[in-house]
Amino acid sequence: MALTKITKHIIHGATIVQVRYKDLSDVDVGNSGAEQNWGNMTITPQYADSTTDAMFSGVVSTEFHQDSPTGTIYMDVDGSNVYTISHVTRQGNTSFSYEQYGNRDGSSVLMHHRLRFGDTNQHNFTIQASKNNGSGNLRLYDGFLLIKEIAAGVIAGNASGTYITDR
Amino acid sequence: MALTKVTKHIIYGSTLIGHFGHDLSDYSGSSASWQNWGEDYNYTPQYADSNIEITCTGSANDTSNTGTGKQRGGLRILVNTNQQYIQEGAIGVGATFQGTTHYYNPRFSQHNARQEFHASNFSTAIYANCVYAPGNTNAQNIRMQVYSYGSHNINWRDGYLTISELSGPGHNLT
Repeated sequence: MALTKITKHIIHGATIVQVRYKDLSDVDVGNSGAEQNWGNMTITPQYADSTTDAMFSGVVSTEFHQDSPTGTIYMDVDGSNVYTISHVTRQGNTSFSYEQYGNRDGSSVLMHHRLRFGDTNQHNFTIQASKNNGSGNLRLYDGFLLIKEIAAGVIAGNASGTYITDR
Repeated sequence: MALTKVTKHIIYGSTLIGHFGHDLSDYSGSSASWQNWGEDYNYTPQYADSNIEITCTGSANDTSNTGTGKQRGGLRILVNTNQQYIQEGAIGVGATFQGTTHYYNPRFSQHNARQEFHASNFSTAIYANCVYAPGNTNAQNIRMQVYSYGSHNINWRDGYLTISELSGPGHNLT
């Protein structure tokens, strides 16, 4: 008879139930405020009381001349925003008395967030980005999305999932 | 009789004991002394030989005009009021020139044409990560702090702090 594997129920502390990761394709588009999809990945928790740990890294790049666009990245779950970091890149307002060439600004960005869904439904994580104004394109490079399901055990979270505490 | 749960002691490698995460309220300021960014949190390790991993993500936005000095902003992670990890110059604005200069414009054969320049409102993403061994099971007060050198007003935004307790054995092996 095959042995039954040990599950989180008999372990003191937390266990990592599953790990999913994905490279996101580069994006290079004109953009003036609308949230632009960078990529997405789904995860289906095995347990309703699990915590989902999401980490995303990549590069947000904008171009500027005299105006200076501000880059923002978003983490959405099932179509709703759960974490936003504004001002991830901005080269600064500049003024010149005569014509100047513009240049490009880039910033390495990282988002780390934890959620508790309270169910075992499939959930869709989408990474988005935008720049608020300015000429030139929004360029999103080398995105990597890593999501772990952590069996609860010693941690609880509130209903909104934005505050995970109370061991 | 209730079963006793499996603990880290009989597992080869490291286990995740506890984990936590919360949003940090935005902070805006220009003080050269350390200021609190968002709320602190008390985490109590389950084991004295655990390692505590802390991460913080967010952004910094310097809204002031550049000067010719080396203005900068930094951040640090405090544990029980002691500095555990610091990032000096996480956002830096070190302009080499501000104001007016004169040059020759060959297109219009202009001499001493004047060029004016100033810049302001820079931003960058923030990521800080460290691991330390508390060596006891006392409450660990963990807090983020920031400063601004050069009287620049900096907005520290959208912070998210995570704390994880990793069991000692099997961690940080070489």
